[in-house]
Amino acid sequence: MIPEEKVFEKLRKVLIADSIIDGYVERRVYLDHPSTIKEPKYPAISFSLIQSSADVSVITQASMEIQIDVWLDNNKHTNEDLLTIQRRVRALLHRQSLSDTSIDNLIVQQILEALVGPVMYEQDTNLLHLPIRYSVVAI
Amino acid sequence: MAVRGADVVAKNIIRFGGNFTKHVNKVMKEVSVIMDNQVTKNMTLEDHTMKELKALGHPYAAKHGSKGMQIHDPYWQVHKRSGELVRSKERGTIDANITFGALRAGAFVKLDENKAEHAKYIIFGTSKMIPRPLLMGSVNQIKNKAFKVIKNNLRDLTMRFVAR
Repeated sequence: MIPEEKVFEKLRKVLIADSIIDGYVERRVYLDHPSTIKEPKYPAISFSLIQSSADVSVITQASMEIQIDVWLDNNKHTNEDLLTIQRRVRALLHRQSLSDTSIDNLIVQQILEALVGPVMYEQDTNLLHLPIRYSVVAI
Repeated sequence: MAVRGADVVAKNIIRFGGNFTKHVNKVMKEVSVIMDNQVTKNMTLEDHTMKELKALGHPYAAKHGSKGMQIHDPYWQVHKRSGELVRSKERGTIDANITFGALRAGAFVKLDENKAEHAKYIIFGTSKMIPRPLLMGSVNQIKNKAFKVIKNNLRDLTMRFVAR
């Protein structure tokens, strides 16, 4: 597995194991953008790879910028729910030790919350959307 | 962007006197112009009309994958339409200040969502459209050039360049 895939697997594993996250999205933490998934269900969290670059000296190491999107149903949730999830994701991921030998010897050297985007609303799908960007260095 | 190094900062302040921070601000202005030009270039593509993009199957739709159909390199470049997005673009600098021996100054380019509400949907994506990191990507493209400008003009300072 390439580092990006391993990181996504690990993030999913961490998020679905958390009771607060599970209370909102159950196990719907998608490894890819929801539009690539057949009939995605919401509320959900999804991951997108924004950019990634391999380290020249350590070929198996990658520095990446990922976007974690939180999608909630506007009829059932509020902006405050989005921010509750963002704070929980931050507590679980930001500067945490996420290395995992069970995922192809994943070593996460650094993971930082880089940016919390604006709260957005999509009229056609009636979804609330909060994008969160993380910078990750992993092998 | 932060420039650190208490000893050299102090040395430069003595050398330049009251004009030191003015000089830093001037350099930052130059950096903001470089950033602005790159962002403008990346958000004003005119090689496809709306009709052509539709015929291609909406290349920025996320159903094509996390980078869309990648009709451009880099994939996150944006086509010019009404010009509203370009008009929402602003550049500026954060004036140099020295606190506890550390010099801080900044240069930025931003999109004003009060002028172009759709800007945030382009940058962060939607449930159907890929995110396109236009600002961050543009800064990464000119990072070395900006670093060179800063280094040539503020030599002897130690530097840390942070793109956000």
